[in-house]
Amino acid sequence: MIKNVKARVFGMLLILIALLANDGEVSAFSNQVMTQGAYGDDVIELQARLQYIGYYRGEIDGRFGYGTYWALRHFQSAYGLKVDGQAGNETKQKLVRASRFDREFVHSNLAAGNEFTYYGGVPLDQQVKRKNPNPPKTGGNPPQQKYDSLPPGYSQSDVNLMANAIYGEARGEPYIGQVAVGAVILNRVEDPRFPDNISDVIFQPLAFTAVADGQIWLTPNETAKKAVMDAINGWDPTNGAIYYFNPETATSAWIWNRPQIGKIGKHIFCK
Amino acid sequence: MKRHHWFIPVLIFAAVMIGLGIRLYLEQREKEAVMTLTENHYQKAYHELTYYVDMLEESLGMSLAMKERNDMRPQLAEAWRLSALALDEANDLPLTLLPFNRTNEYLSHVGSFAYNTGVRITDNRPLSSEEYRNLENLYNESKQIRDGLRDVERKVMADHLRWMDVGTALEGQKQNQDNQVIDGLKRVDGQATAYTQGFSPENPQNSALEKKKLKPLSGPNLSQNEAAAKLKKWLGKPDADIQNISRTGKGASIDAFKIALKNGQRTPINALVTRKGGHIVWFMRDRSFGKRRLGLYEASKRADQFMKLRGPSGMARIRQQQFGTVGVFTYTQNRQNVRVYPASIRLKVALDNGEVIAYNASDYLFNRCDNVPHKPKLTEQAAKKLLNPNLNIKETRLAVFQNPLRKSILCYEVFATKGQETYRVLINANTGNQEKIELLRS
Repeated sequence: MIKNVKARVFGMLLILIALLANDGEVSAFSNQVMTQGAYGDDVIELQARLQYIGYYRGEIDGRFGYGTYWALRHFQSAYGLKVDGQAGNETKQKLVRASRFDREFVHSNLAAGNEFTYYGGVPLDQQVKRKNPNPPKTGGNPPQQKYDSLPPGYSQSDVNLMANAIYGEARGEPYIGQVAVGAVILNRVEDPRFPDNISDVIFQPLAFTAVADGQIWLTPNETAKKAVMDAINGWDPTNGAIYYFNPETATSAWIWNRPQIGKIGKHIFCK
Repeated sequence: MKRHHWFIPVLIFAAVMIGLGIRLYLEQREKEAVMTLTENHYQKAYHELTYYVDMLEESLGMSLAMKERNDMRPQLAEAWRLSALALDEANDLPLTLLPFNRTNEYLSHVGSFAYNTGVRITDNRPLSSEEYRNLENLYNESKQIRDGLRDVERKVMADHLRWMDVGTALEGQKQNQDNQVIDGLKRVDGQATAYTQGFSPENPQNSALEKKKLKPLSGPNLSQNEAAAKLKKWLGKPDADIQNISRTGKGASIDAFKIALKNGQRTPINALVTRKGGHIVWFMRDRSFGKRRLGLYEASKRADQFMKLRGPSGMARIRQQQFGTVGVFTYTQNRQNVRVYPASIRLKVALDNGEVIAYNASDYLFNRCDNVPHKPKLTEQAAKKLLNPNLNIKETRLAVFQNPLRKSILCYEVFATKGQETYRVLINANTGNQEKIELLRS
């Protein structure tokens, strides 16, 4: 009899510990509600947990895109939750109860750049599909870099190249003047008279002085990178310009004859 | 002994001079090699350009003689290909600073005409009389451009002219000097025709202001001060000082005021306000960011609030994306449950304190396409049947979409998946044509 009680107490303790452990896992997610377009550690956990129970079959990359969105909706409808494709408190709690998350395994593989999955019921060592032959050195790039998000339709190299061009052309200009140079590049891509992609526009012969004199290869700063994003997201301080010049150094008579739109910093922008 | 003293320095001097001479000679040769390389690159680009335009002229000429669209199709596809190749070569020449626009515009015009009449239309109905007339015009123009290009080519060959000199002539002060290449090319270039290119829904349209038929704005003309007062009131910053205000120049497609507002120690806000009606086209503030405190969801609530207070009514948030410490939110007009994609507004929210730091309504203001009827001829079921049966349809709705010819079209917008990929398909709600298909990456 006493033995039985002991066993019961022991059992209850076990349950309690399990519950506590589970609670600890709930707090693994931060309080934020996750929506499409977000990225970060919470999204990694969301994807890993959805994959654990078989709803998400895509890459665990920390970006909340369409794949994650459909997976989450599927999960919500199967578990009787409100199907809104957003990970709020209730959804996160249900998800934590239904799944597991091995933070160490997922994050170490992400940091090493390995190709891996995280399905429940499959031994972890079978889920690393391909090891990255050149893993980043520890203390090098923060893993944040991996899931930094990009505007639709643009590649990382487009963004980098534009940052280089903006920095080379306009690093001494006010911020809005840097966005303006980015906007001119994009206006040229749009314009049928110019090449239809970013690298061809930037490297068109004699199009940009920074390309001609090699200043484009300076390492751009954060401001230039921010300016690229604003230009790509549609802000155009030039209001449709496709040329600009510095009136102090411009030698071509032709450029002065273009219809001008306005001046930003040192540059005059024109059609 | 004395003689030796005199002799040694002279010997050293002579040796140094010879060394220097050799070095200068080698450097000169290296420089010439680099210049020849560049020159050859330009020469190749020009000769290929003329070659492709030659071929293009022939290809257009041949299509003119054909009756059925199916017979024409290979020729038109060829013209499409050649125009792309020729445009590529033209863009490799040092001509950015030269009004060589006509040729480029022409080539791009041929490309889209050939694509739209020969590749995109799949049935075999003969060309309409308008299409045929267009083809004839393009053919006649191709002859003129070809002759002009050949003329320049002949001069370049006969007089050993160099493209490098065109570059220096354009860059330098020698603008007014005779340069036969430039003169020849100016002759090739005629008057530019208005021609417009493609545009995908949701993707921002930077040159929106230039290319669209601007929707006329309502309201009276404002003075500088009235416009600035309107901006301050709209932003809820009545105490801000005007740092700078100027009117857009004659090159701008809209008459507007560029205003910089300064509020105490904070970084200035730059904005564009139209003269007519004082509509806020865009504003942006550049500032540094603190630690990220808000998630994208909380930020979206701030953006919604801002739109409710200051934006036009009837706008729905359709997309959000996080970039570092900012969230970018896209709103689009929702008319009787139809999303009007060309009429969109973007907001940027800082994720450290939730401040709206940028706003862009240029698409909304100038592109509202009020005249598109919202009643589809095709039912949703019929539209879905037109899709590839391997697609798993997730969402369907009506939307107004602007096609590459800048026509606003009522479409069924279908989100569908296949494997891990998500697709967005736009089906014309009246004809059932597939207007666009997109592979969504994020």
